Amino acid sequence: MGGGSAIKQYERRFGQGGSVYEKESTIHDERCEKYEAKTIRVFGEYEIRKTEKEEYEVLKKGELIGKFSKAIIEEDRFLFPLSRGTLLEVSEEGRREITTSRKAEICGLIASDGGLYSTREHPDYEVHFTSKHGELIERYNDLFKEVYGIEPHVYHKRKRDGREYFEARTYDRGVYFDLLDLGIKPKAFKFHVPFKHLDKDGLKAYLRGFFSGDGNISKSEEGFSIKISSTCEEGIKELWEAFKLLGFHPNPIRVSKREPPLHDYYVFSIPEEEYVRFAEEIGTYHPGRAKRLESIRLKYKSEEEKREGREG
Amino acid sequence: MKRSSEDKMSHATVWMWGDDLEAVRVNSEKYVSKRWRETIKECVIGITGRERDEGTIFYLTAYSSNPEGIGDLAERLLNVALNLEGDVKVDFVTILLSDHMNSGKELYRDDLEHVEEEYERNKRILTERFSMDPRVKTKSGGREIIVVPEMSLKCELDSDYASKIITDVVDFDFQRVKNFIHSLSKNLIQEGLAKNIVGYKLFIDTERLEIENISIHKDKVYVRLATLLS
Repeated sequence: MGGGSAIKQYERRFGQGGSVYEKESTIHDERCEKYEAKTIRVFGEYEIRKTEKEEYEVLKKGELIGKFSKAIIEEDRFLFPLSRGTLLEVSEEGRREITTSRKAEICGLIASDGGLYSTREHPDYEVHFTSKHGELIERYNDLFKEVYGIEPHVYHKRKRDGREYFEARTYDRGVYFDLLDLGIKPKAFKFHVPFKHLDKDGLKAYLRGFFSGDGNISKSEEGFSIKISSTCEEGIKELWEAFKLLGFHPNPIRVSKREPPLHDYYVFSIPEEEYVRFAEEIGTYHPGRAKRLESIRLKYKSEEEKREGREG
Repeated sequence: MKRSSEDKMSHATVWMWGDDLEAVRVNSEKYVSKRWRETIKECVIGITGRERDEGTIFYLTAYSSNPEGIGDLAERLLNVALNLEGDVKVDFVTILLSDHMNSGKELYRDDLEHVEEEYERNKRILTERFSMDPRVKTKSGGREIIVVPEMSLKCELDSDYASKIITDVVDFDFQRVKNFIHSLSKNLIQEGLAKNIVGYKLFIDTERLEIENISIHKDKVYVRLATLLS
């Protein structure tokens, strides 16, 4: 993401990032006042220090790579909030930039029912999301406001039969490139799961966003079926992989092959045994699916409890 | 031409989800006027979509040898698809220009009674085959086994507006497939795009179907069969 050294990138973003470093724990701040920094955690070649001013410093092989006023401290990692819904994660695996859950959900929504559009001829830097559900548009806009501080403009459209649908759009260069750099939608036909930038919570949020768009819960004689579909083969394989990474056991991907000008369709479903977990950990903001999912959760949860009661 | 892409087979996607509705006509006309040559015999308009409340996949294909009317035809087909009941998503409208008359090969002339017999016949074959599968045997424990194959039902429609229109619906639920294809055909006829239904053909690929999922519901074992991605 972006060019230059990591320290330069952080400086550009936040006006933060260290510019002064001394090997000893005595450092000078901008006003040249001496202060102490104490090592609070070491992850391999990374060291995290806390200064007297309650700031955090991240050092790699002794070189300061960032200075942060806030940190989220977890057992196995430190997270430092960056701008635009990004966190710097430092752990035993090293460091990486991950998205917040909110941004990950935006990415999932865009991958299913949205897009990024800009060309040399039409440098619109358009980021859009389309839905017939006002609730989903509202969710997208709330997330967008929190992550980017921008409220997408909502175009209220009407089909010929009078039914309505909505399009939320922004035309911001920074937002466009921020999302493009994550590789979520390299082409209009394709999407990718930005694995490199997602932790487990991010992965769940991404899947929630995608499922809110291109998921479905159908009901037939055999009961409910929770499915995810797409015309993008690479994308659906990655979604399947994402569920596996989270410990789900998705059913194999099925395909409806068609010759041009028609497109193939790829679908996979979640096994019945994992419906409750799906409802509790992934969920959806799609109003119809949320309602069905809740009734599934209640039904299967009570069945589970009965079973456990019998076994217990 | 916004968001139009092309490949060597001379087909281009002229509209996709998120595009303005008006773009389909403009892009189709631009593509046809740029690419139509003397050797071209037929234009094929393909619509790929899904009804997301139930997860039914559908395809619409229209054939025409008249380059003048392609933009209008594409727009009207897209409107029929988008105006179907439920949470409909149309992924793509794609145009293919061909040196052959492809429509001649698309003949689906069975009546619905025959389709229903075919469905039952295929189900019997599949039940016999998959009841012996060890994964099914393990789960069944003497319960009744119901095979649920994924199927595609195609319907051929006569049209004054195009040479031919084909609807194609994919799902596991036979009743849903029939209902959906009925709505699609009815809307095409109401919109004046099609005159009447010529016939149907059911496709259940008994040789290639594999187990997608096995579930137990109300003392029955449901074995869902589909063509899996290799």
